[in-house]
Amino acid sequence: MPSNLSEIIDNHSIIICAGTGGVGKTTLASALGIFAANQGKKVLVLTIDPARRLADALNLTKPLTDDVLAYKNNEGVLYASMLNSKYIFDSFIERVSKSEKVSSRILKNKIYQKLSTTLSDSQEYTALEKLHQSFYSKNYDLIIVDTPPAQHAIDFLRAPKKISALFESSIVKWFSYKSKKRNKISLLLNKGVFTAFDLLKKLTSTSFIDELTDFFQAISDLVGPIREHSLEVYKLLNSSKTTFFLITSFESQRLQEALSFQTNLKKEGYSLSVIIVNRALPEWKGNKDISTESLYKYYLKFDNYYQNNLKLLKDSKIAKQIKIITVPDLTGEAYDLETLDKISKKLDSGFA
Amino acid sequence: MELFDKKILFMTGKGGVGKSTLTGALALKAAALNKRVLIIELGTESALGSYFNIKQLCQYPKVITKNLSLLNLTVENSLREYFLHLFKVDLVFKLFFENKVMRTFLNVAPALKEIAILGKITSGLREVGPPMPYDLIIVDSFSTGHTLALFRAPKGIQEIMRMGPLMRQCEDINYILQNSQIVGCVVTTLPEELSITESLELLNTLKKEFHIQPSLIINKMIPENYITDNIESLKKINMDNPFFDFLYHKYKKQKEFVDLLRKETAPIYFSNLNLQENLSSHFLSQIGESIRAQ
Repeated sequence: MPSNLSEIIDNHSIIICAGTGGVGKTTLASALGIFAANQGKKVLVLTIDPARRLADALNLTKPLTDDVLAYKNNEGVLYASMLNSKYIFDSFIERVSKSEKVSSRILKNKIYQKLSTTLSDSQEYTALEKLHQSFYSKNYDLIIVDTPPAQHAIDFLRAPKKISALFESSIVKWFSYKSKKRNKISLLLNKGVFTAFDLLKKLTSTSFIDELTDFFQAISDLVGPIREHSLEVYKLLNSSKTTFFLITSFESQRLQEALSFQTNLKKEGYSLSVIIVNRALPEWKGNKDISTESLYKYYLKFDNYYQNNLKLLKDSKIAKQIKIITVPDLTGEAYDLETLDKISKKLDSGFA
Repeated sequence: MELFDKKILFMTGKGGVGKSTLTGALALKAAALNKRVLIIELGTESALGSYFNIKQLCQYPKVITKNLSLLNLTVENSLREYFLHLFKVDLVFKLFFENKVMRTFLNVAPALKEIAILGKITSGLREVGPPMPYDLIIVDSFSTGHTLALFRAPKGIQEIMRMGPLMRQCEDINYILQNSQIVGCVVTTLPEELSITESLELLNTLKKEFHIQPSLIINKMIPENYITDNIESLKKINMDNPFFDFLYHKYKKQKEFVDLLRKETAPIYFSNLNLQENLSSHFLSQIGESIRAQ
């Protein structure tokens, strides 16, 4: 079990802040970044889609393709980046393509263009790709990865596999060859014989099928390099220098989610360092010296609420398995570097 | 409530603001007004099931209380119904869906999943597939990003396909989505800095990209009966008490945000912070009772 935050930072090159949507991952990831920079490290925080106030604090202004300097302190420095899926996907294709002819054919394809810009799944894929690029640039001591909002924390690891599956050679072959070579699973319908592909044709249009075939023919050259690349990415995640922080909140459903995330991570051999329950308690300590009765009654309601949640946390299965830290709710403050610094100090003291 | 005049409501907003709770609360409120309501949940889990003691996902609309049904929509079931409508035999769907390649493709292909879902949500109104005998359908999608992906899907498909049954389906879906008398969008926000800025961005996106004027619900508000006109005198009595400072600060900020939001959009609804959280439909009714227009 890790004894303090500095130790974790010293021992790792990659920290991934996983969790569902809306728990404060981006804020905590940024706060971690400030802390590590204050430790004298060269840090990069990869954010996905930070809210404007936070983005401003980190000097992230759209549109953006490069890493920007967010904070500097003696020897330590924090760079920040915002996920630009399209840019990353395009440069990824260029990197794995052996020639410009191959890459430009893909980049021009309409299916590819839609795939590379759509909101779902591709964010996880491109976040991993950006991590890979940043790591191998060797510019940083530590990379902190914010993850896209998801219904389940484990989606960060599962979603990219869905995209990788598309690049599997069997799938690519299926789409790029003409129908004669396709496995005929036939269905007698209205005296006709259909395959799954025929069905797709019936539902969509010829031009779409042509575009689709062109896409798969174009990427058939890249199947090998992409697969190797995927393996490299997952090796990076599995490395002993990579660890996960799970960010969550009090609601009991989230704690249940934390348990299944921990189980899943263990299964796949990844390392989870700590669970952080964000915005767990307000800053005010229990001061019962309230003279107005209605106010006192309201205070009791609040106090009860927090005590109940704390109890749920302490009694939860997950508390027995892994270190849990609570970070108080500092959302009365503005979202600037100073607040992030405060949050990072609370995080650090949570380990004690 | 003006909200209940629509036929389909999409609940949206960043994660953690209380969308699902408000979905349940609004649904119960409408059901109490004798509207036949259907809650549609997207995603692989049910947030609302536990409030109504439902242990399993509802693959088909299930009546959970008077005037109220719940449906957990999956891409698979939506497609199955669509195929049934198109081809009249279930075998066709099996052929398509049990093909590993097709499934992989469907999993990743942009917009296809979203169209399947939107298709089902609007199917009743388009008179396609099994009837949807409801006065109001409330859709709880699980985050801003996914809701935007939903709305963008029909146009996305149309950009890749110039013709075909799927393309025509998208045209029909878009036609309904753009009808503001039928479809409404509710953005849920919290009276907090980050949440407010994000919600304003979302409001803007919805307006600019889809010409939708969403309604706004500010959730987890400090109820006004704890804040009176005498707050300044209360302050004098309870000065230096950290809890009072906390409340006072929250109240001031809340007021600021409400004033800011009023300039940006209407209508705005308020919903109270309820510290006695529990998994019951009664809790949802309590929340529902506190929802009011301002």
